[in-house]
Amino acid sequence: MKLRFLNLPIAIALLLTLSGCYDRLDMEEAAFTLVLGFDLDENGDLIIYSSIPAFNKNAKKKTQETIIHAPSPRAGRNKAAIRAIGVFQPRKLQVIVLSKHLVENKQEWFRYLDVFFRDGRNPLTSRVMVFDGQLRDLFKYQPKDKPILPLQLISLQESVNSSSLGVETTLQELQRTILDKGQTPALPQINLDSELQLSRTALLNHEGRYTASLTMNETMLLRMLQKKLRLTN
Amino acid sequence: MKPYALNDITLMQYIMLINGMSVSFGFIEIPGMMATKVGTDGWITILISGLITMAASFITIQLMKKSPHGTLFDLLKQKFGTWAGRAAAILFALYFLLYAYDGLIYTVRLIKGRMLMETPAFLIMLMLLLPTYTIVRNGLRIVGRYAEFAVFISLWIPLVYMYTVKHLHVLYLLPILKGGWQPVLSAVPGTLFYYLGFVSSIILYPFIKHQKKAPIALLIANSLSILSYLSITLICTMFLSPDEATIIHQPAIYVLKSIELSFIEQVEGLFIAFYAFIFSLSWIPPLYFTVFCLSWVMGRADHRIPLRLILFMIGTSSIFYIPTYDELEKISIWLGESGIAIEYAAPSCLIALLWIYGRVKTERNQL
Repeated sequence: MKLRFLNLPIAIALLLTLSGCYDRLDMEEAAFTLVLGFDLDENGDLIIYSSIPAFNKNAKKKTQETIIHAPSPRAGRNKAAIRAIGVFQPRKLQVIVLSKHLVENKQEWFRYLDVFFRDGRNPLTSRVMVFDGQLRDLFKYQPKDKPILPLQLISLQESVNSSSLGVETTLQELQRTILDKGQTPALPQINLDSELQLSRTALLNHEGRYTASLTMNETMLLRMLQKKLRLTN
Repeated sequence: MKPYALNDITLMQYIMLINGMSVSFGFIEIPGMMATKVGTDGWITILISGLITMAASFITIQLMKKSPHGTLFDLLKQKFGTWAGRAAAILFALYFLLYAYDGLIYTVRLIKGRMLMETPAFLIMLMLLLPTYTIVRNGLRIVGRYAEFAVFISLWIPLVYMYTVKHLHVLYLLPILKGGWQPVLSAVPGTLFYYLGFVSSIILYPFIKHQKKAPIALLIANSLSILSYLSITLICTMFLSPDEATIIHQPAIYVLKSIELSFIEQVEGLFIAFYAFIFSLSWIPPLYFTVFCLSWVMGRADHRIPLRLILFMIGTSSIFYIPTYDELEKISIWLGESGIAIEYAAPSCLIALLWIYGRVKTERNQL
């Protein structure tokens, strides 16, 4: 081949245009939102809570909580980006907590979650929970002998799920059941007395509005109907 | 003596070429289309249109049996003169070019929409065109080998979908035929689009090593396409509730979002990246067929010259203009309609034409 001598310059030129790691993101600089909370204030406007683990050595508290008043989650994300210590990352989102007040009173609140379905890189396996009370209390709750809030919520969910005492609902599941005429959407319901507990199951109608709660025993029967009963003992 | 003997392909390569061309992006699109047009009975439509395709591809083989040592264009040239062959070659070149363009744009749009959102589309196009050139310029045997490689390296796909089994609800499939046969049958013509590609037999036939087994190879290739469409459609219908299925974009990818593995997140991103091999079969073989037709028109000239020209044109045009998803859908509809004419109708018409021609000739000889 006559053109063989061109191979090396072309290879070098291509190598130089490789993107490499210029846009990498170190863990310390990222703000991984692990828990997001949606609540309404007295005027019926949206408040977004988020809990972000702090990987910084000097930070005394292990998580950073932010409270944002915003008309929609997308607008809230922009506001959060200004205030969080790093680049705002929704991709590790583990739990979405909705206040019972919001689920009961806000029309079409499910649209707030639309943004997770729209961006192709967001996870849809985040667990959705209903919190009976004001979210402010939940995000403040940080006893010294307990792990950070995201871990507490996740382990709570896992333990009730493995013993069939509560339901486990991902974002995908929630959308499926809300749009399915033949099945009642159910969300695990947590409350905070002296401790965080997941003792009930919230039932929604097909607009997504809260209608009733099931007790622990009733939840077991629900799981039996769903054919999702796990008999561990 | 076979004129194309130097470049012959094995039966396996033939199977993978036909199967790869038809499945490619249909795998992503077909569950959504079935859900909106048919509802939960989409799998019946897929079976019916698959059987029609099977029949149509056997007709194509019957046509090609008349010309074991040359392509369809050689046959037409021999029977009806040079210009008939050239006209057919140009027609098929245009058809395969449209086929390849549709596949390329679909892949660029999907990769840009789901993975490389910040990367300009023409860079993604460039990234896809470079390997395309290196494969296509080497001729049919390399294209065949590539098709074989691409299908075999993608055999893990069914395994990934096994992870979704625990989220499936068999009840969503029942009752079967709840809307009657009408919606099921009315969606058949639109579904044929996803089976296009088998008409490449008119070029591939003289290259096949064991031509007697070509019908069996087609049977296997079409069964593989039907099987992959059936499985993905059944999975998506059982995963999504019936009303939800009509509003979800690309359910085949949405379903994968339910998978949680402890060592990797975003399984669907990995899936798209590796699935690009299968996507590439929707433009690499058709591009080869396009340049084959063009070089045939020019008297078997070097096929790399039209190839460079076409790739250059696609590449530069992508800097200025790349169809949006909606425009892409329009292109797909054109392709589907011309595909039904060229792949399903044309071969049987040609057989009839050749038969009448043969009768007229023998009668003339008897007189």
